[in-house]
Amino acid sequence: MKWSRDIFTLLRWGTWFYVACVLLFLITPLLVVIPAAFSDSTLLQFPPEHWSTRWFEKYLSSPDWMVATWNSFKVAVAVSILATSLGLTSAIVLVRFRFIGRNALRAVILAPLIVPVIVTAVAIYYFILQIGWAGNLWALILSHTVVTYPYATVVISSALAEFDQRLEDAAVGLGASRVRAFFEVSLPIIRPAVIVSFLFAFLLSLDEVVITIFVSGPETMTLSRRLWDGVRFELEPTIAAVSTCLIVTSSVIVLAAELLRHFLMGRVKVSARR
Amino acid sequence: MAESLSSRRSTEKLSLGRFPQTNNRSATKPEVSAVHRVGASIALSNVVKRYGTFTAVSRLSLAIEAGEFVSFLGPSGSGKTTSLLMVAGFIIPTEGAILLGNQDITRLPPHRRNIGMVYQNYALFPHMTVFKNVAFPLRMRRLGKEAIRARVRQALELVQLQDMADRYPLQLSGGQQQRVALARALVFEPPLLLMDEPLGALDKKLREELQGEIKRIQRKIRSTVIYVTHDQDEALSMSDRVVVMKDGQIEQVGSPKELYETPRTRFVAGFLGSANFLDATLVSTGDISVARTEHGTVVKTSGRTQACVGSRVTLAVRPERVAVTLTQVPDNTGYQGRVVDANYFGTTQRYEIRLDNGEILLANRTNIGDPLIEPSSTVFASWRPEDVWIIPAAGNG
Amino acid sequence: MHAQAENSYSLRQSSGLTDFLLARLGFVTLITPGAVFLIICFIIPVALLLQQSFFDPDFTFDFYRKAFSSPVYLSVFKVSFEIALVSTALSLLASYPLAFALIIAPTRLRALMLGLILLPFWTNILIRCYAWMLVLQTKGMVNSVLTSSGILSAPAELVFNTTGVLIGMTHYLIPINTLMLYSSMKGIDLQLLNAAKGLGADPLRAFVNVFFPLSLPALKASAVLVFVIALGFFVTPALLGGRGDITVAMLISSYFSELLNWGFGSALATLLLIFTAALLILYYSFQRDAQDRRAK
Repeated sequence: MKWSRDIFTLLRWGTWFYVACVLLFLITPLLVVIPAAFSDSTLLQFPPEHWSTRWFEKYLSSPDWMVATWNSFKVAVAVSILATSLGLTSAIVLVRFRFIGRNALRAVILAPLIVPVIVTAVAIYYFILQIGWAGNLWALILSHTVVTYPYATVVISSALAEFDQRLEDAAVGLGASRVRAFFEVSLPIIRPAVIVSFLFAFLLSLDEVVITIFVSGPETMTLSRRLWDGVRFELEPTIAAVSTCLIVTSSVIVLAAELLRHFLMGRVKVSARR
Repeated sequence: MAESLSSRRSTEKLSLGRFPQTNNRSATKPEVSAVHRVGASIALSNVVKRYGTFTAVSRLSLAIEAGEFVSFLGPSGSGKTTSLLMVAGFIIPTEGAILLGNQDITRLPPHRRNIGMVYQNYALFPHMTVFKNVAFPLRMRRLGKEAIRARVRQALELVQLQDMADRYPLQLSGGQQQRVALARALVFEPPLLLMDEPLGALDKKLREELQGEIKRIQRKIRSTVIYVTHDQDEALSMSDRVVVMKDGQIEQVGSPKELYETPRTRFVAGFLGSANFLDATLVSTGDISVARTEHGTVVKTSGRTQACVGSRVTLAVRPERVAVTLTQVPDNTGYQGRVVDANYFGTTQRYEIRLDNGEILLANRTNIGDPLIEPSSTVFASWRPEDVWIIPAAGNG
Repeated sequence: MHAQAENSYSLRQSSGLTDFLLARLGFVTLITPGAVFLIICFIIPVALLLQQSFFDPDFTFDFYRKAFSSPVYLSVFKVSFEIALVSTALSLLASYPLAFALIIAPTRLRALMLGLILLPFWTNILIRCYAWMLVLQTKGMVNSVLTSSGILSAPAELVFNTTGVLIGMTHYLIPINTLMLYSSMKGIDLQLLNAAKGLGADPLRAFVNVFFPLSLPALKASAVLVFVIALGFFVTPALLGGRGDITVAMLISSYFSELLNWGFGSALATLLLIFTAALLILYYSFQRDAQDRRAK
């Protein structure tokens, strides 16, 4: 009896230790990149011997990194707006209307999540060359929207499906037209999901690599594209500094999105259950 | 009939005006009062709702007077909520017409109907304060800011929530939320107020308190009310008339007293309280008819019947009209039997009695301090002929 | 005066026809932007790609014949499958216990763990590859620890070969895999484990006989989905792999961006699409299993 209890205790601690190792493995890249960015040396040493912020200074003073950053930001904002608006309209169609081909529509919207990104990337690349849009920032925006729009649709549809339709009916019963009721009641209540979808689209666009390296050209250099070239050919610590900035950006946005999801959506859920 | 027609016509004018004449002195600052108003009449004629082959409501015809409080009572699936939603406009009838005042609203979309509605789950907007919730229908009607403020204050006073205006719905108790929902449904002075099991989510004590409150408000504003419920006590205590529904059809319409004391069908009798049903054969008819049950009990009844002597009928008598005594009653009309089961229910004592001929009867006795009669005691069950009514064979469904 | 007051209070009247049109137009207005966008930016490009793989410039199966006849291309497919299979297996080994730990962890610990999973999940894939290069290279962190402690006499080759690809891929797949497993495991009633223990099963048996079978459909489904993602993967093998680690995705990429043989590239892309579709059919059948089981 005593012996078997020991075995299970050992097993339990063994499992937790294993889990801790996996988690350590998961964040190893972050634990390495961030100190590397603050290293004084040109060589990639770990841990660094001297600390400095010279690589951040180099990043911030380099015109081509700055152009890339600005382009990435412009693209990401445009993609968030576009993907969220399209996601909102499609979510309403999918959740609120019953029509023939509804499942087919849903499948087509979600397809870019499932089709290997490389296939989507070369397809769009080829198409862009055909219509002569190469090097156009809009080509990048639209192609990023292809892969973020499904996420936006999923996030907003699930909020809309959870939303208590009777609230909108009540607004209609009180004298609001359907459209007015949607804007006065439904939209404010699902607003957290819309914001979350916006933030996620922003991040997805910022982190998109495969499509970006095909669609972006020298005139439309973005961070991902610049990193791709940098990682393959340079390996200098400026990349670590850029990476650190990107990691901080993502963390802040993800944290904001999670908090929004947790607090605001929780509030609405409670009310929908009543 | 003539009376009902004339009263309907008189409300038409009012419902068209929607503003009582006295309040229209000034267009910029309407002094609207929630007191002097009358609701509109509403008529459903041959309304049918089918879903594919399933008929949710079949051939429903009903005329409701202006200012009347009518309950739709029935088990779930009886079509009462479907009927209500057709009046509200959320469901379009397959056939038939609905008239509010003299206006045909059958196909009018809900937001143009001007009907107030209170939902079982309250449907309060969680992102708006109580004030904004109540102001919502007024904003939709493009009322001025000042007018909205005045009317919302009035409506909240009516439901005694004037201090809660800045709270959010989730900060209120269930009963308070229900009052807000009521204020919101009343604030635009709808000629008709629909309530879909509004108290269903509340506990018994609060429910009774709010029943009284709803009645008080309804009397004050004299609006027409259709109230859907599956709670028979609620329907009986609040309504001017009750519509009992079953399987998408009206089973019986009448005042609470009519329905309770002379239900036309076994379903109505059973749904509104309980009853002893005795299958019997008519022996003689007249002012006092006589029938003989299958067990041989001879029962006198003053209930009216068109059935002729020898036909089979069902007799019904409410358990609380069955007197239980330990000794024979003075005129020797008590039936002798034994107590099979005795239960204590606080305000009443309930007995199951087996008469010597095998007939089983339920009897309720008001608890006025008499000790509970022990099972297997010999007792006498008796009732007056006017406590027994006859359900024709057709009403046995 | 009177009419004015009435207007301010009553609802604007209009015919039912307006409402009817509004409802219809509403549907059309809502469905159009998404549909037009998808058709122009996704369906037409993919259709053109498929079409491209059959024309040179006349209709032909040559590209497909070439893909299947040359041992070079077959070995690329083989390598892709192997890498996908091994990295899927490794990520499952890591993800399953992690997902289970998430389920049983107290709220605060769970939030911390989810944070540690989401952080790499939302980190740009290029940054992750870059970091692995720093960690795994000959003078990197791992090698310096191993050589200075005397475990290894010479630094091991850990990156720019298959090992590097597998580490990078597994790292990429674990968060996805864990989140999928976690979301379906949440539906399993943990009371059942206690019930089993109450009936005399020891903790290990309770897990093996109760929890594991219940989580199996989710495990299968997520394995297939992760395999699909791994199969089409491009960035990690391209950055962390060596000469022998050419995957289908890399081959497709090179035919489009370097060799400019679009017809053959399209044929390879189409083949990848077909494999993916076949695997997804498998995935949906697993999903249906999982749902059936839950329904029971």
